[in-house]
Amino acid sequence: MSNTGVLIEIDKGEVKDTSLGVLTAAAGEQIYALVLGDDAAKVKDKLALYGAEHIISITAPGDVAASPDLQAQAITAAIKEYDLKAVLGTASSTGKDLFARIAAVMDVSLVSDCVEIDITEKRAKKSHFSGKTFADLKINGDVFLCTIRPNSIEPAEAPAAGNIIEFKADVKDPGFIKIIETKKSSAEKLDLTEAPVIITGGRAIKAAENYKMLEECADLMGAAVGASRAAVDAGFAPHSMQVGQTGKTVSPKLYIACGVSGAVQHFAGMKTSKVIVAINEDKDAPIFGKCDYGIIGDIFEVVPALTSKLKE
Amino acid sequence: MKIFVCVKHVPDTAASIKLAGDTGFEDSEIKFIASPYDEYGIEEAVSLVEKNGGEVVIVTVGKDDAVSTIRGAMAMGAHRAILVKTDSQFLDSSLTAKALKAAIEQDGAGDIIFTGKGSVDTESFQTQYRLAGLLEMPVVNEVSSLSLDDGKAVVEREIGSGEKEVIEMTLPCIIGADRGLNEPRYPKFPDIMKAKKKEIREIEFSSLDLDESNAMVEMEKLELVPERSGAKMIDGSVDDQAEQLVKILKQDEKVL
Amino acid sequence: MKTNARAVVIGGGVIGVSVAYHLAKYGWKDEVILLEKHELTSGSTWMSAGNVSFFHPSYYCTQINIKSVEIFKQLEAETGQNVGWHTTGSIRTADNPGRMDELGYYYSMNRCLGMDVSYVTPDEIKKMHPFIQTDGLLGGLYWPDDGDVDPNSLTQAMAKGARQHGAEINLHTMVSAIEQKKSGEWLVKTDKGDITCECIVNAAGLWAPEVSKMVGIEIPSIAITHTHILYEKINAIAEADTMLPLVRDPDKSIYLRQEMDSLILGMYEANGQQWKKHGVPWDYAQEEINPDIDNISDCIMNGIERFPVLGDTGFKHVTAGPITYTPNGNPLVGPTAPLKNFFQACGYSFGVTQAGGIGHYLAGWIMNGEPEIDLWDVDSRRFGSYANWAYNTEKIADTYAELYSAFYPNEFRDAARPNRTSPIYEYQKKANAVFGDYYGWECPNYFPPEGEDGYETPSWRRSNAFKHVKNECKHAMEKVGIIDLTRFAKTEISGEGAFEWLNHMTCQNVPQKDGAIALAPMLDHNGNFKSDMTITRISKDQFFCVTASVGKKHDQHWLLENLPTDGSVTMDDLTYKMGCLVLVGPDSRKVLEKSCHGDLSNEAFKFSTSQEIYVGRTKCRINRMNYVGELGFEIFHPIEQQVAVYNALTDAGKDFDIKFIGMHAMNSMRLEKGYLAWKSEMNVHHTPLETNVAWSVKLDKNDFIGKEGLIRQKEQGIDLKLVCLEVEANDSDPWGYNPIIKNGEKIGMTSSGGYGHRVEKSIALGYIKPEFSAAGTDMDVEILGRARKAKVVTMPLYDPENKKMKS
Repeated sequence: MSNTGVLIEIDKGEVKDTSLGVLTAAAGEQIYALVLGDDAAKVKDKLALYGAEHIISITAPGDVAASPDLQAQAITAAIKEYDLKAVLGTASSTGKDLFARIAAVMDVSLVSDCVEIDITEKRAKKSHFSGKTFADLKINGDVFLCTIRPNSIEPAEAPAAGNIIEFKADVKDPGFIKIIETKKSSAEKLDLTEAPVIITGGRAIKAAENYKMLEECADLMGAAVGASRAAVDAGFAPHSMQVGQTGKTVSPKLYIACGVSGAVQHFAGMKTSKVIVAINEDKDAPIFGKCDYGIIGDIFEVVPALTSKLKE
Repeated sequence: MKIFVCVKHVPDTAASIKLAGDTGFEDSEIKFIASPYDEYGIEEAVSLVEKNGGEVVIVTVGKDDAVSTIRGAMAMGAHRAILVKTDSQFLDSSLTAKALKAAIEQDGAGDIIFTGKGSVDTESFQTQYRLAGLLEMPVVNEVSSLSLDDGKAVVEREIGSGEKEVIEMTLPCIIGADRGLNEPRYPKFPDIMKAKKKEIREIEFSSLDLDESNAMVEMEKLELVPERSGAKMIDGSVDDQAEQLVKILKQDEKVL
Repeated sequence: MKTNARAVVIGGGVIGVSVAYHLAKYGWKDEVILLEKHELTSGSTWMSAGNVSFFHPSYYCTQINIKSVEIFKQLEAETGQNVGWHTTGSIRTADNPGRMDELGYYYSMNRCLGMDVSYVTPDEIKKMHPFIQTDGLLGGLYWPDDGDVDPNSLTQAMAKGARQHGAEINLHTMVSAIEQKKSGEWLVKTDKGDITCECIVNAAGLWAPEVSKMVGIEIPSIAITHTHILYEKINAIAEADTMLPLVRDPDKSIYLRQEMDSLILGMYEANGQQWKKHGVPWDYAQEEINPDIDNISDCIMNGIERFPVLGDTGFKHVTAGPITYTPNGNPLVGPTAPLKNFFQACGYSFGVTQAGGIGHYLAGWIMNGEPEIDLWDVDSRRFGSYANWAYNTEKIADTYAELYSAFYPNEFRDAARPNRTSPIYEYQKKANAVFGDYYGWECPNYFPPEGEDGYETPSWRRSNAFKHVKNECKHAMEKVGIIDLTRFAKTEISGEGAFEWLNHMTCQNVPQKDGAIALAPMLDHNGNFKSDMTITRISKDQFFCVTASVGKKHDQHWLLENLPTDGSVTMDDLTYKMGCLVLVGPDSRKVLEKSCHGDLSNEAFKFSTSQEIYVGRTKCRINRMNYVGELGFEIFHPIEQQVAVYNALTDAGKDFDIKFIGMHAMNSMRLEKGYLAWKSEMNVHHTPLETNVAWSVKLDKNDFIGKEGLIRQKEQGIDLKLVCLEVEANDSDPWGYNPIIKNGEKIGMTSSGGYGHRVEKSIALGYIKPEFSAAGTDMDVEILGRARKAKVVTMPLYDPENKKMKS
C-alpha cells in the first residue's frame, strides 16, 4: 500500500461525482484526499464514504483561487510533506491544467486522461489517436501523477476514516499569471466532458430552438446536451457543445445520439462511452454500425416519447 | 517580435491507424498533418508578426518526414524552422520539452512561444507546461482569445460548460492555442513554393545530451480500440421503442 | 445474409452499387446480393471530384454518360435520397489547331447522338467563366447539360434504391474465395458465410485484380494517385448566385469546377504515381494519401495561368487518393473470357461519370445476354494476354500523363512497346516500317522510303503518311505486295459435330466441299453482327476459322460459351502457332508460282478456295482471297517457318519489285472494296441484311443463332442501310461517327472512312435511312464540325465485278 493522493474537485460545496470515481480508482491504497481551500469539513463524510483515509485540507498564503501556479505549488508541498507516491485527479479542464503544472514543478511523470490505472504496477491505459487506439504505458520514477477520464471508473463506496489534516503550504506565487475574471456562461449547464449522460443532436435537429426538446429529456436523466459538428457548422449550437474531433472528447456512461450520422470524426470524441444509443431516421446511417442500441425513427417523435417514458 | 511555434507532425485525424509491432504504427502510408491545434498557434504568431514585425520560428521534434509539416507551417507564413530529429515514434512529454528547450535556447529567446492545446496523437496535454517549467515562463493552455498590451498578455481560456477564465500573464510566455483563437489561413500555392526555400535547421536529438532511456513514460503496448459490431435494433411503435429503451438502460445496462 | 442469389456483386463503390441497383430494379429483385468488405464508397468513390459530363472520346461511352445523367437526375424522386446534382454546363478548351480538330471530331460525333453541344469563342468562354484567363485559347466546346454530383450521396441513393427493389447489401463482408460448382453455378465464400449464385459481377475497384485472381484471371488494372485541390472560399463566387461551368483545359492537363463557394482544381500530372501496384492491401479503406505537391506543381501553375484567382487563394484541402487505370484508360466491363457468367465492372477512372449508365447497360447485358449498345470500347476482352500486369504498369505511366492529350485516329504511342512481333519484324524494321500496335502486335502501318522520317504526325487531317500510303496502294494495284497479317485470330474447329455446330453458329452455309472458303459472320441472338469470320473447310470434320485479330478473345469466348459439352466438337487456338503473309497484286501469282511447288493456275486454284501448298520447304495453307480486292493469296504457315517463307517469297519476288504493304494501305483498299470491318460496320447495332453481305444470310437453312431476329427484320424491313459515299473532302477524310445529313436532317452516321488511293476519292461507309440509299443521292457528311458534300455511290468503287481478284 502506498500513499496515494486524490485531488478532489468541489462544485458548490459538493464533491463532484467524477472525483468519487477517482477515489475508487485509488482503492486499496492509503488514500489522501487533497482538498484545496476551506471545504474539507463540508465534504468529509462523502470522502470518507468513498475511501479517503486522510483528508488534507490545503491552504496557502495569497490569492490561491486566482493563481493556478500557486495552487500547483501548494499541492506539490503537500505531496512532498505526506510522501505521496501517486497522485490522481480528474481529467477535467482544471484537473488537466493543474496536474500538468504540478508535473512541471516536480519534474515527475504524468499520464493524462487515463481510462485504467494500476497504481502498484505503475501502469496506465489511455487513448491515443483520438480514441482509435489504447496505449499501455509504464510509468517511471518514484512519484507519479495521473488524471483519469471522467466516468471511466464507476464510484464504489469503501468507508474509511476520513481524518482531516490541516496543511498550510509555505509557498510563494511566482507571479506569472493571474486569473482576473471568470466569465460565467449564460445558462447553467452540466460540463459535457464530465457529464455521466449525454444526449447529442445532429444535423437532423434542424434548428437551434429544437435543442429545447433534448434539454427537456436531458434534465430527466441528469444529462448534458451536445451537438455534432454538422449541427454546429449549421449554426444550431455553439462550439462549446460540440462533441468530436475538433470539439470535446467525452466518455459518459450513456451517450444518446439523435439524428447524428456517425462520421469518424464524431466517433473520435465519444467512442469510449460505455453505452451508445443512436436514433436516426435513415436506417443506413453509419452510426447504426457502431453503436449498442439503435432506433430507426424521426427524432421529433422518438425523443418526446422517451421524455414522457422517463417522466413515468 | 520573435515568436516560436512548437508544431507536432501527427497522423491525419481521419487516418486509420495500423499497428506495427507491439508499440508502433505504420507511418509510411498514412497522411500526416500539423496537429490541428498547433495551426491556431501558427496563425496567431504569423498575424502578430505581420502586425508588429519580427519573425516566426517553427520548432518541431520529430522524424525526418516532419519536414512536410514544417513546410506547411512555413507556407502559412512562418519564416524559418528548427527540426530536432529523432527516430522514435513516441517521445515522452518530458524529453520532448527538454528537446524544445534546447532548440529554443540555441536559437535565442523569444517573446512568445505558441503550442497547440494538445497533440491529437498522444493527447498528453503537458509538454507546454514542462517547457514553461524548464524555461521558467508563465503558461496558459486552451487559449481561445489573446490580446497583447504593454508587455502583458491577456488571454481567455474555456474551463468547461461554457465558462471562461480571463487571465493576465507576463511576457515572455507560453500559450497553448485552442479553437476559437483565430481562423488559420489556408496556404496559397505561391507561399507553398516560397516555403520550399526557407531555412530548416536540423538538430540531431542525439546531440542534445538527452537520454531517451530516461523517459518518464514508456509505451508498452499499442492496441486498436475494438469497434462495436453493430447495434441491437429496437423495433415497434414509437411508444414501444421508447419504453423498451428506458427499460434496457435502467435494468440491463444500469446507466440511468 | 442469404445463401442463394442469381447475382452477387462484389464491391460497394459507385459502380457495384449501380449494377446491383439496376439488376434489382430490372427484375432480379431480391435475388441480387452486394458484398462490400468495408463501407460503401471506401475504395475510390470517396475521393471522386464528382464531375459528370457527357464528354467522352468514345461514341458509345458518350452514350453511357448520357444515360448516367438521365439516371442521376431521377434518383432522388425515386429513392427520396438527394444526390447533390447541379447542372453547371461544361467547357472544353483548345489552345492549338490540332486540339480544335479534336474538338471538331467530338462536336460531330456528339451531333450523331443529337446532343446539345456548341462551339464557343474565347470571349464567350470568358463570359461564362469570369475567372478564366483566355490568352492563347482558340475556342472550345460547350455542353450546357453537364453537371456534378456528390459521389457519396449518389452511391447511398442507388444503394437505397437497390434495397427498395429487394437487393441485399452486406457491408463488412469479405470475399475470401470463389469456386465454380459442377453445375456451373458459382460459390462465393465470405467471412459471413457462403453464397451460391448464377453470376458474379466483379466491381471490386482497387481490388478487382485480386478478385479476378480468385478465378484465375489476370486483369490489367492498377491504381494511380489522383489529386485534386479544394480552394478556400472565394468571395466573388460566394456572392454570385450562379454555378460556374466545369472547365477542362486539356492542353494544360487540368480541370476546374465550382464547389459551394469555391473551386476544385484537378489534374493529370506528367509523372503519375502508381499506388500499391503489386496489389492493394485488403484493409485499405478510404485513406487519404500524402499529397505530393512537388509532383503536381506544374499542373497547379498551369491552373494559376488559366485561372489567376487560384494564385491568390489558399488550399483548403488537397485530396489525394487511388483511382484505377487500365492500359487505355477505359474500364473493364462485361463477360470475362473464358469464363461463363463472370462479369467485370472495374478498372474505372471516371466511375462516377459512368456509373449510372454502366449499371443500366451491364444489367441489361447480364439479364438479356446481349448489350443494348455496343460496349466493345469498354469490353474487358479487348485486351489480350499481352496486357498483363507488367505491360499495364508501363503503359499507364503514359496513359495517365497523356489522359488529356489530344486524341488522334492515327496515333500509336510508344509506351510499353513492342510486345508481340512477327518473326519477320526485323525485316519490316529494315524496310523502314512505321509500326502501329494492334492487340499487342507490332504491325507496320506504312513504309516510307529510306531516309524519310519514321514517325507519323498525329492528325485528324491527312498526315505525312498520305503520300507513302498512296504509293503502297498503287504498288498493290500494279505490281505485287506483301502484307503481314500474322496477328489474325485463328481457330481450328474439329470433330464429328463440327460441321453441324458451325452451321448453328453462323448465318452462312458452312462449306460442303473440302477446300472451300465461306465468309461466315457469327450473329448474336438478335441477328446483329457478333463476329467477322471466314471458314475454310479442310476436311469434313476439320475447319479452319479466321477472325479479326483484335476480336480474338471476344470471338473465341463466344465460340467457347456455345461449344457443345458432349465432346463432339473441339476448339484449338492456332493464333500463336501460325503466321500469315498475304501476297496481293497482279503479279502475286507469278511470285508464288516461282516460290512454290504447285499449280496455281486459275483453273487449278480457284478464287475463294484453299489448298495445302509447299512454299519453299514449308507446308502452307493458302487461301485464295484477300482484304484489298486484288489477285491475292493468304499464306498461313507454321510460325517458326515465317522467315523461311518470307525469304522464299521475296527471293521469288525480286524480279517483280515485291514490296511490303502496311495497314493504312490495306484499310484504304478495303474501303474502296466496301469490305466491312469488325466493330466499324459489323457491330451489335446492325445485321447482315442491312449491308452488302446480305448474301451471306441463308434463312433457308436450319436454325442458327440470330435467325429469328433476321426473319423479324426481313418481315419488318430494315431501318438503316449500309452505303458507300464519295465525299468532297480535301484535307480531312471521314473517319467514322460523322453525321450524315440531308436537308438539315440527320439521316445516318458513318461507320468508317478514309481516302481511297486507287480510286483517288475520299470515301465513307455508313448506315443511312434506306430511302436515301440510291446511288447518286446527294447529302452532306459532317467532318470536324464542317459539312462536306457527299453522294451515294455503287459499292464497291474499285473493280465492281471483282475481275482482279478472280483473274
